[in-house]
Amino acid sequence: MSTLELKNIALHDGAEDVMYDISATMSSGINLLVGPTLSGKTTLMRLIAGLVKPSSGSIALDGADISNVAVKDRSVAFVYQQFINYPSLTVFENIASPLKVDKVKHSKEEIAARVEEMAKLLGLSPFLKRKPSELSGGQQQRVAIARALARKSDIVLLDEPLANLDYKLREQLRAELQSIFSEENAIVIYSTAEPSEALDFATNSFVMSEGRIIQAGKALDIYKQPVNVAAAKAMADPPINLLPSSYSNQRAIFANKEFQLERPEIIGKEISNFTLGIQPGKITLQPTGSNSIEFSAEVQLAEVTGSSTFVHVKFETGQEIVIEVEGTETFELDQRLKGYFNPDDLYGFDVNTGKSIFFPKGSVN
Amino acid sequence: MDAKKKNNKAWFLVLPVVFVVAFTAIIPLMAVANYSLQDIQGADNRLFVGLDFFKRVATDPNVQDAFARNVTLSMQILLIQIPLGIFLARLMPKSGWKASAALVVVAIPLIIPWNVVGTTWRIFTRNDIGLGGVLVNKFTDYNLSESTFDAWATILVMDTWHWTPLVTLLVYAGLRSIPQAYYQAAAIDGASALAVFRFVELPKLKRVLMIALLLRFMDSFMMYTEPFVVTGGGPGSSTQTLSILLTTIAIGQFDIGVAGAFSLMYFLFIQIFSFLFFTVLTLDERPGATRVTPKEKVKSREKVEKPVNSKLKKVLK
Repeated sequence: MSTLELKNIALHDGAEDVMYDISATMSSGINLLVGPTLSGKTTLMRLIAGLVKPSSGSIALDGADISNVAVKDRSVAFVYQQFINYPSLTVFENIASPLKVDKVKHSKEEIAARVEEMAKLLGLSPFLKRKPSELSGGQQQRVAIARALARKSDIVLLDEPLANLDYKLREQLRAELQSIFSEENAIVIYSTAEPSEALDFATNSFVMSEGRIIQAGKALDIYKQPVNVAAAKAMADPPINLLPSSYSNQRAIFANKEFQLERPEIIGKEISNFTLGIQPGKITLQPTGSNSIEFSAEVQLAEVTGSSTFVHVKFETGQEIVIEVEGTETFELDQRLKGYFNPDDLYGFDVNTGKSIFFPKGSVN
Repeated sequence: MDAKKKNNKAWFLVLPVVFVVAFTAIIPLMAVANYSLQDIQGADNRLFVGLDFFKRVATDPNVQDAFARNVTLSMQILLIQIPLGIFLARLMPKSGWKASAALVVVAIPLIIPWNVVGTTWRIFTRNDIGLGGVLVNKFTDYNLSESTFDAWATILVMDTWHWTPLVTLLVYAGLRSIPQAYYQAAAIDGASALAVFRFVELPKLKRVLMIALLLRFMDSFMMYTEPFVVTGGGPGSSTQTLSILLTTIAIGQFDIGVAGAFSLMYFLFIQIFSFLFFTVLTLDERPGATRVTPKEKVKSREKVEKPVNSKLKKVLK
């Protein structure tokens, strides 16, 4: 069991701040970096790999400071979103390449054995003599992953490795990666922009936003209790509905609907405004219980995805929300629709800071 | 017969192109072919001579010498300009205003007309008033109208100055299209600068370099204006290229039949050589080479690659 410790890492590019005061502890197994594009996931990985030097702060592996260790001397492997392999080398030579330049000398038999092992693990055995350009995208990425694993690095960085693959391959490879990495002793750092992927891994996660780590914890815990709007957005798939709302005397307004809202978190506090959040799946077209609140809105758009339909509806106030309906249903444009939600399913965020005020009931463990 | 009648009228859209190409390429070429087969003494006095002119050109020692000179010149040009072009492209700034500035500066020689290049260098290399000529004369005797070596070297240096930028620009564009991730991946592997060049850049530049090689070969093999202006093919015939010799025969001696045969052979040589060159370089990318099902492919590759991969086989055992 090893640990990687990031202490107060910051990075400036000229006058521009790229990373702000990042501190985190990652341990053996899969660690997820979750966040939208440009949130700083790749930059953080490059910092950990040593490709970029932090402006301040330090990185320690098992207690030993590695901030000043050169890239090639760090025990690091990197898999990119693009499929990066040596184009003129065969799959065998590609997987063997990090072993050949390793400081520890490996005999030819050792290298061959390790390459065979990696190829078997990733299902590449029949393709060892091919060039990367003669493989499919999924196979090319497998080669890149095999290359990364071949040297048994302490840290394995995977930067959105599945983003360029089609849906089916992504699902398949994700499942395989989970089982492969569960047997490795390395600290695996895996970045993704997709909340569903993060929830699927269900492991230690770090939510990134605008160059900061805003929340750390198990993916599902973050989903249930995000610290702020950004974390809620980063972990919500489909995107969470957000509506500005006013509040007084335990009565809140959802679009044009006033209703009773009883939350111990806000009782007795002087709050007159907040942002309400609700998952599209929590809004229904039929009442679900005695405390369901009914509202009506106009249909703007219906997206059918196969297993469910996303209905975009608009209130008289001009605000729009999305409702997720099971199955494929057809809706008329501009048709008036009755929707129901349960106040217990609402998230509350501070209007100015975005910080969470309350979570859906039942999500508190 | 209820099958729909095929509408082939789209053919007519090709006609304008056919006309243009006919007037610019096919008809002139056919006229040349016409001249090459008959000895024309006057408007009404012509004699069909078959392939006589072709034989004469092929066995003419002047033509053979010029051919050898051209081959040597092209090879030297490729050997100097391709590596130099790659070297310069790698030195150029990667982004920002510096990159733009470098591109403009590098591209300047490319937009100067041939004749201007020749004239500029003619003056530049004069050993009484030319900047270059006087400077070189300070260190060693330099006179391009007397020394064959000086004349040859001048042509080589001038062409390198004029055309290396083309290679540089092509390679620069090729280098910029390599994702940064490749370099980072190589850095993490601990690959040396040489290994990065050999295993990342060179394979990625393969296609671009092929185009550079082809263009530089064709252009240099057809070189005419610059040596004509700078040395006039001299001293003696030491810098006389095929093009200069051809012009002498066609216009100087007005030997139209021989010149016609010469032109066709010249044209065909460049055509065939370029085709072979291209075919050999793209051998492994031909569609036929990869259009097999994966299973068969593995087998067939094993068969083919046995001798190459015998080393690998041993390792695997």
